[in-house]
Amino acid sequence: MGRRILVIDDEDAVRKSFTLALEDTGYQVETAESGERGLKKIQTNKYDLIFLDLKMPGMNGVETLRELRKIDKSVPIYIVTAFHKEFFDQLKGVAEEGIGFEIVKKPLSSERIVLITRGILEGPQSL
Amino acid sequence: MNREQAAKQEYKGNIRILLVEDDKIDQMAFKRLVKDENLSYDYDIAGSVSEARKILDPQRFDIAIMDYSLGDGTVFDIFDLVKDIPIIIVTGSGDEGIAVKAMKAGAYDYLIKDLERNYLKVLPITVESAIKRKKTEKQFRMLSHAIMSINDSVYITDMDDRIIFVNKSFCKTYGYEEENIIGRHISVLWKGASTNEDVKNIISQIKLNQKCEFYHRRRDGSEFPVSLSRSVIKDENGNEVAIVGVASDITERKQAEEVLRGAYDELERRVESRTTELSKANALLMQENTERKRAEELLVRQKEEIEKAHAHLRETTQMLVQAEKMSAVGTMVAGVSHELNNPMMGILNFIQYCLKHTPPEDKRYSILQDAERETNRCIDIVKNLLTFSRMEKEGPEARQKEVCDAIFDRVFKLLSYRIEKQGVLITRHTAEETPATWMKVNNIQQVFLNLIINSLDALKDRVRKEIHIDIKPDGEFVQVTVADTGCGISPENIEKIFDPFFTTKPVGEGTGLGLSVCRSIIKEHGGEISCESKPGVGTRFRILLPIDRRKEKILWPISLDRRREGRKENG
Repeated sequence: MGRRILVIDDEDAVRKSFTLALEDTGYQVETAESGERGLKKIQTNKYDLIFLDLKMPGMNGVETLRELRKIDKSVPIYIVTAFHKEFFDQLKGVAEEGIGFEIVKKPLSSERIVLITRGILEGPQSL
Repeated sequence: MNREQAAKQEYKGNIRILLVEDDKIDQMAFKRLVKDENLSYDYDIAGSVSEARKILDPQRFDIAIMDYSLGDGTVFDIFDLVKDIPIIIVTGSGDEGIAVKAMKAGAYDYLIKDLERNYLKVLPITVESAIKRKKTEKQFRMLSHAIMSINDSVYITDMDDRIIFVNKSFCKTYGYEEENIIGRHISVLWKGASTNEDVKNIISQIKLNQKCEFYHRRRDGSEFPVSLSRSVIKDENGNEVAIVGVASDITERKQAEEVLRGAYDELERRVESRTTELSKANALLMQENTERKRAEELLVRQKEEIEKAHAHLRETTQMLVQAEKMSAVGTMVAGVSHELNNPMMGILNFIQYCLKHTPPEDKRYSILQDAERETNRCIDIVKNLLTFSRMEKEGPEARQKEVCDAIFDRVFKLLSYRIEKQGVLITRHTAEETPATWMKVNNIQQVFLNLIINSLDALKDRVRKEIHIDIKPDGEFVQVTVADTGCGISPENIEKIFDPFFTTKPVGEGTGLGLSVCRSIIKEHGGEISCESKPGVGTRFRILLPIDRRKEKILWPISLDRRREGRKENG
């Protein structure tokens, strides 16, 4: 219990979606509205799972990913994206450098949010 | 006073007379006569030869009346002095011989004195007659001189056509001396006229006072052209007495005319030759014209073809514009759809949160369920829009190993509604040993989807509606055949079906890009696509996909399932 999840997304609706979906799971959900704020949080706190948006003003998802990995090499990072092609080449480069991440496609339902989270934090889940 | 007036004066004024008479009584008788008869005479009287000489020196007279025997000589002594005026000799009776002599010497007339001096009674008439004669003579001399000296040849014949006068010019022109020609018949002048009759015939053609052209003969027999006019001379009683002919030598004019005619002929010849040339040129032109017309017709045909091509180009351009438009719309739709994902994720999760915290017996629960369902529908629509949008297609889709069967599964799923509605029978046969091939799944899916949609379109109005898929390995390839029992493609169209923008579908239904994109996708995969069709029977597309062609490292997407499987394996 007390596992900590960080959601980095500039969209309030998305951040709220994660918060609401995971409300009664017992996980502690924290949010950051930019890559910069997310990085600050990770410097002071230890997280078990990070959901990261790609398209954000300021630091984008790929840049944030690189910085996150410098601080924490093992935390599972799920890139939650609506597939913006301008980031694909960068992502490809990141993957080739051996930086680990997973990708899920927006939009995510509450069910899928819970499923993915539990899957990562507690092993495979059955629907 | 000019010369003409002087001349008039000379004849209209009093007659100026010189009377040379040594007999005083005769002198007085003359004076009395002039006075009694009121004769308009101005006169001087000389009583001797010497007196006459004195008077004659400064003065001029119209006439001289002279007594033959004078005290200091005879009339002959002063004859020379008065030569240019008429002289009337007066002699005594019995001196007729002297009168004859005087007349021969040039006197105009003579009077014989009688005792009663009756001779004076005829004096006025004699004077008048003499003056008239002198005047006539003078005139005649003048005219003769004129006629003699003019450049035209003048000849006069009597009524028997004998030449009675010729002028100097005549002599010079015809080569005669005056004495050789006077008295000769006119026929000597005429060319080709040997008899008098001939000449009469010729001359009769000449109208009086009109000019005609003839050939005349010179004395040496040579001929030359003349312009001849004739006029008849009549006496005071109106009888014809002579004929005047005036001939001008027109050799030079004729020569000039000849030259002119020559020039004219030459001109005419040239004109004719030029006309011939022109006719030839014209004929050539006509021929060229015909050829040009032919060329023009050809041009018209070519123009029509160009116009047709142009129309086709325009059509193609329109299609291109349409395709661009659709592409732009696609890009926009994709962009909008992506942006919709975030708020929709929010809405979905908000509804689901509410649902979670609403007891099922609450009447709001089912409403929230409706909201959730509708939101999911929206999400599906957006997902479908994105599935075949450019954004999706241009994604960093790495090749991955996939079996064609799986792709067809998805395609038929996508088209299930339409297939069911059209009542199309789908059969599929996949050879057992068919391997998976490396491919850009979404692209290959687009190809298969395109082919099936085309088949469905072709089956619209068919009774037998079947699509058969056959998948089997073929050497290093997997061969996929899509055959339908549709309307087929005409032979003239089958060549063009892979051309960009070629379409037989109504505007708005096909961009004409489908099969051309299919071909590019297959080519990009190192495969082949071909088509055979029989109008009214059906169409068969055959695709060869290389089994082991892998250009890119797999990157996308790493599936959640595999990750989960990995975790499972790990522990």
